[in-house]
Amino acid sequence: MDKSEKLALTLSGALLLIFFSAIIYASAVKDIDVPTCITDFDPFLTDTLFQTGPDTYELQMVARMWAFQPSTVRLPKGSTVDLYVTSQDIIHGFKIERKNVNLMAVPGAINYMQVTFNEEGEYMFACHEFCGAAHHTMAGRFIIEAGIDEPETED
Amino acid sequence: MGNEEENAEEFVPRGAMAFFIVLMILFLVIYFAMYFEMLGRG
Repeated sequence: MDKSEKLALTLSGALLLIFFSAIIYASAVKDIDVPTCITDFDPFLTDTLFQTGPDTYELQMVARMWAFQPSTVRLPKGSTVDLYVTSQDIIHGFKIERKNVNLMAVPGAINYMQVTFNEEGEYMFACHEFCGAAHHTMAGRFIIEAGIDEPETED
Repeated sequence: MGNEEENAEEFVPRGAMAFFIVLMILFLVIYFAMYFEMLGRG
C-alpha cells in the first residue's frame, strides 16, 4: 500500500476513534444521552386523540413517507383541536383545506396549531412538501359530523 | 523513459496530503464546536 494511502487511512481511523470516544465520554461520564427521535416516545408512538374539555381535543399527528398517522379523524361539530405535528423521517407538509392551517412536519420538532371545525363536512388534509415517489397519495381527512359521541381515528 | 519512471517513484502528493489534513482539522473543529455546545447545555 502506498505510504500516503496508509497515512490517510490512519488519520481517518484516528478521527473516527476520537469522535466515538467523545460520544462515549458524553454518555458515560457526563450522562448526556445520544439524541433520539421524538417519534420513539409517547405520545407519538401511536396515534393519539383525546378530549381535553367539552369541545376541545388534542391530536398528535405523525407524518411519514407516505402517510399520515392517523389518516382519518372523526370529530363532532364545533370541535376545537390542538394539533401537534411531527415527522418520522423527512420533512413533510400539513395543510387542511378550507382552514387556515399550514404546518411543516419536521423530524425532531413538534409544530402546533389550533383549529376549530364549526361546520359539518369532510376536510381533506395533505402533504404539500414534495417528499418522494408517492407524495401525491399522502393525504387524510377530518370528518366532522353532528352527534358523534366518541371521536375516532383510523390509520 | 527511465527518467520519467524515476520521477514517478519520487512523487509525493504534498498538495493532496495538505488538503486532507486541513479537511481533517475542519471536521474536528465542526464536530467539537457542536460537541462542546452539547456538553455546555447539559
